[in-house]
Amino acid sequence: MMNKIKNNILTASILWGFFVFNVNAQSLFQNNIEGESGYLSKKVSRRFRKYNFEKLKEPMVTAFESAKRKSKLCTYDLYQSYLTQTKFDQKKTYYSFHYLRSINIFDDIILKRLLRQIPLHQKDISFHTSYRLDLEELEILDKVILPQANKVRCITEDIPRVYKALVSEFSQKKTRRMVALLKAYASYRPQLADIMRPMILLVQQEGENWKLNLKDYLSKKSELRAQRENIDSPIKFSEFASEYIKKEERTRRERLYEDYSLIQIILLKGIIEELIRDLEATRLEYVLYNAEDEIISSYIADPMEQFCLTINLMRKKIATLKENFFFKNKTSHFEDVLMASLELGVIQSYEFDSILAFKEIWDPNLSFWEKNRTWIQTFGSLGAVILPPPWGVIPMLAITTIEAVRLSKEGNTNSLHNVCRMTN
Amino acid sequence: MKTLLILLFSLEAFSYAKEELAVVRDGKKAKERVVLLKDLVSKKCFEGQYFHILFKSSEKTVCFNDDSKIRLKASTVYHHLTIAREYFVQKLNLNYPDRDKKIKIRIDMDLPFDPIAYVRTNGDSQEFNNARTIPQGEGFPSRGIEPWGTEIWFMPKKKIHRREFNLNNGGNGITAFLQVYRRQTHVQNLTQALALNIREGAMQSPDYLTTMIRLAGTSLFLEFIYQNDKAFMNLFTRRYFWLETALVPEIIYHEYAHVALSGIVNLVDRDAIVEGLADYFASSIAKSPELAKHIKKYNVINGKDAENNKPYSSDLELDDFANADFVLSLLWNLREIIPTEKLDDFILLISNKLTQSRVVRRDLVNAILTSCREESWCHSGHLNKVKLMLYLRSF
Repeated sequence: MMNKIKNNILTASILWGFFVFNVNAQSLFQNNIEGESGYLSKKVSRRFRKYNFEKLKEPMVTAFESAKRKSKLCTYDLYQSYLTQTKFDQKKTYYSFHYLRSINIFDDIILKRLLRQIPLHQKDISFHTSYRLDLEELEILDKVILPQANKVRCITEDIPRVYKALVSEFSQKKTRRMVALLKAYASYRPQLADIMRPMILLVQQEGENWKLNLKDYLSKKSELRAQRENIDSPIKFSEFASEYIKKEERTRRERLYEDYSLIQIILLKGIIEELIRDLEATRLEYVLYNAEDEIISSYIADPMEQFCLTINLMRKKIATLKENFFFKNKTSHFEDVLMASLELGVIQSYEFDSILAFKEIWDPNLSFWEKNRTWIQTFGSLGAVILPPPWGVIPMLAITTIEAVRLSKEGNTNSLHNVCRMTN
Repeated sequence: MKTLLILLFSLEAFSYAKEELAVVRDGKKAKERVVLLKDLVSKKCFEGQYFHILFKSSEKTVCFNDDSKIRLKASTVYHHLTIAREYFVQKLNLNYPDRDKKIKIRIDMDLPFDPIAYVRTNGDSQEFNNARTIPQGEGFPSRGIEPWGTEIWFMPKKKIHRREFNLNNGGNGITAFLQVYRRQTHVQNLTQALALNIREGAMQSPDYLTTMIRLAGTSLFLEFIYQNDKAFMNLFTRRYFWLETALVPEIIYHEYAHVALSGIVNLVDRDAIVEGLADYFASSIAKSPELAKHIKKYNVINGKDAENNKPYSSDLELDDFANADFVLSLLWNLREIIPTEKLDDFILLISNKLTQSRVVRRDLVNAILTSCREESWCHSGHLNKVKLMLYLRSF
């Protein structure tokens, strides 16, 4: 009887553990911080509405959840399993991923990794190349790639490691040369097509710029989530987190996860914690001591001097972060600091906008004339020389307008009333 | 109780309304429209329960059969004062000493105010193009000067020549523009001449000579314009300026705001903060960030713009700049941070903290921040935004 009870308790606890794991895994996939997807263009949004995924919502979610369980958290397998279950073509799969992101089944970082899989699953790709392998090259390629031959799962997760080993063996960093090598090897060993196809495509697609695979992302997220749970703060969807950075082709949150380690993110968040604490201070006093450690003079700053010092102090902390042992000369930005605090929930939603707006202090929004002042002045001066009279007056007028705009904005202001802002 | 009821009924029975032509805002522009004058106690004249319109310094009430120009001023003043009073009494529920008293309003009042003698009658001193809220005075009974209550005076307009008028606080637009243009051109021409001299000086080619003449000619021509700017200014700027205060709705609101705020700030004081507070309520009543603008028929002097985000300068603390729109724009800017429906009450709370010293940089900033901390709806997000706004305005 006792054994039966023990067995029942054991079974129940195993089931509970499984349930808890599943719930955690599910919530780790789910988006609970990003606003509207940064990868959702208007065009894509219109298209996926045409497919009327609303009706397919339940089977799609079920297929994705089931694919997730089978994939062992590898995007390559996750994608393939999802494809098998839904039987969507590539185009429909592409839009269905966007739809699933829009209903928060997963976040932008996972979405990007899933979208990246689509071209890797092309079957009709040719490995033709004029490059011929020599014996030594073949030996190296065999040594590095053949141990992967029997691996059927999580291929894309292993490719960066395999590729890095190849780059180091060949001492070759040029992607085009490496692709030629891989293509030549793929046509020489057709039995390795399943590995070589995604490898070549992924190398072509990203070179060496792959960062953060799904498994690493989820583990990092889980660690940060644990930190967040300790903080116990309400979670808010923020457009700032999912804002797409055009130059970097990734979202702000993705940049945080890709560029910073766990400990770095925690250190970044500390800066905002200190800023919030300092902003709430009610008094700032400058005290000067002599050699005997006696106070020789003191000055109580006014509220705006206090605010100015608090902001400058935060900027100094961000600038000097690179001196920290954990940052190793890495330069951090205010947006990353803010993103870290948002990710870890140290900032309340009502405070977030106001602190984000602080950026206006050192990176103000400029008008057309202010932005292009240097250019217009340079070309205006040139134009004044080159253009014959009376046309030379046009660039001169442009220069004068710029100067007038600057003077009217600066006026006769001085900053002598604020010790923190005094510049002359 | 019975007497009170009878009194109330009798007051209601003696209250009239009359349609008259007045200057009102129609969108941004000012138009003459027929308006309904409320709470009149006289059937023939502009005398109401709360406002009594008098002509000049006399005790003669302006009546409906007076000259049409005077009637227009009287009806405009009466109409807009009623609107302003309703705003403070009904919307803000504000209590102030003259709230239920009948205030004397003087139009075309050309004599300056004297705090002891009521009006300055000696010499030929006259006042034009202005409006004033007169604080109540005890009079000088031994000299036959009776005590007086709070009054609002609207001075008549008078054309003033540009040279007598301090435009844009010391520098006018064209002169400032010419100064910048002159400096730029001279520096530019000199640089070019020097560069040309270094490059081709030895050769003395015909091109060199032509260019040098052109550069020198441009500079000389510009210098000629600059030295004779008065003649050129006649081509671009207005020669005469005037302001008919009794026909500009926002000026009427501004003056009544002084009356309404008299319970908080002394009417004798006329500093940048007091004027800014009155401007703010004038803007609120007018529901417009622009005061006394787009009304060239009655005002050709620059109005005020609450959206003019000029940076702070310690010069603004001087009384000469009390009528600049800096404080107005500062208070108006709070709309972007504080819910609009709460802003008027918030500004009143700020006003209550400004009874003693009134330095914009110190007292106004402190009053804004302290008031925000006191309000239940104000959290650190609001405070941070207010501080940022002040910082961006160079505080």
